[in-house]
Amino acid sequence: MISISKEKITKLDGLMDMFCSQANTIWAILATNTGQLLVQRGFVHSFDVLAISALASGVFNSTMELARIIGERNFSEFLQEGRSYSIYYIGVDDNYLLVSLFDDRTLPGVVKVACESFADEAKTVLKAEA
Amino acid sequence: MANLNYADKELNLKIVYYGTGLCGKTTNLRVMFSTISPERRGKMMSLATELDQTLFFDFLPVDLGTLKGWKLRHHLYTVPGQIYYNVSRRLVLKNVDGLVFVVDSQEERLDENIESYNNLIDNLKSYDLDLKDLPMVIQYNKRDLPNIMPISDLQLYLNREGYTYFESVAVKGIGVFDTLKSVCQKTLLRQAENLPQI
Repeated sequence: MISISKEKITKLDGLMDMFCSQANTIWAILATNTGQLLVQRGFVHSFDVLAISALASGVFNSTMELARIIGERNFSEFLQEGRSYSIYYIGVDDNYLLVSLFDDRTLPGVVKVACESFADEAKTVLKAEA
Repeated sequence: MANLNYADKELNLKIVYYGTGLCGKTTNLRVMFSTISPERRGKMMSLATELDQTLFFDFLPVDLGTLKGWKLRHHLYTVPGQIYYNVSRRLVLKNVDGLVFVVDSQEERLDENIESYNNLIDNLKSYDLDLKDLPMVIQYNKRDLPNIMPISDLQLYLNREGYTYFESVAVKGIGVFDTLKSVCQKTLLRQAENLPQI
């Protein structure tokens, strides 16, 4: 059983606030790799967040499986680039996933750097003893 | 894997409906979606082909009360039944907490049911999981059709371990909620000892 204490969630909330402001994303979610939502930020209320989490986990896990099949170990982050919106995915530790939606008010490179920074710090929080 | 969120006081569990193609897994979720009040369930999402066969998974989140002060949220998934979607099937099984194995009771589907059961065991092994360590319920579906096998025969082929089973006619809603209730109870029972009181 994955157990996330209130203190950890508070720390992750803080990291998520910092991430959203640095990356200027529309919304971002931190979920388990099975799609169970932990933290959400931004205009998430206009979307079905549970469905997004489940789908994002499907996308992430199938991409990781593709990586495994072709013998690549480093597909742990990737971008879905659209005309109006794009989504950046990054694995956080082995059990979690950060998904962030952004538009042309920011740059993919900025989002990538902010995602990587968030992932590093979130790993430390999630690995810490409760 | 169950996820205990102290901030939201929520226990999240993943239940997977497994079984051969067209055995009624998606129908189970559709019946739940149309029967459970919107306050207690989310939207149902289906990733299906044009022929209405599940391509990746169906997903339905349902809230089923509280335990020891924790709000219980069950994430119900189905797998694609067709043999060539095995990679997707395996991915959906990742971190599963409870299983429903849906059986098509028609005589001509027996071999496919057995193959699907063996495939479930193999796919669990890829995550170092053993079927006997997971809560599972068997649902013998399509009991209204004329060419069905007797339950005693199905039990011999598919349930020698003695899992709890239910007969169902999922398209009519028969047996759907008995199955859900049973798998949820078994899954919760397994988690209950690790669940602190709020």
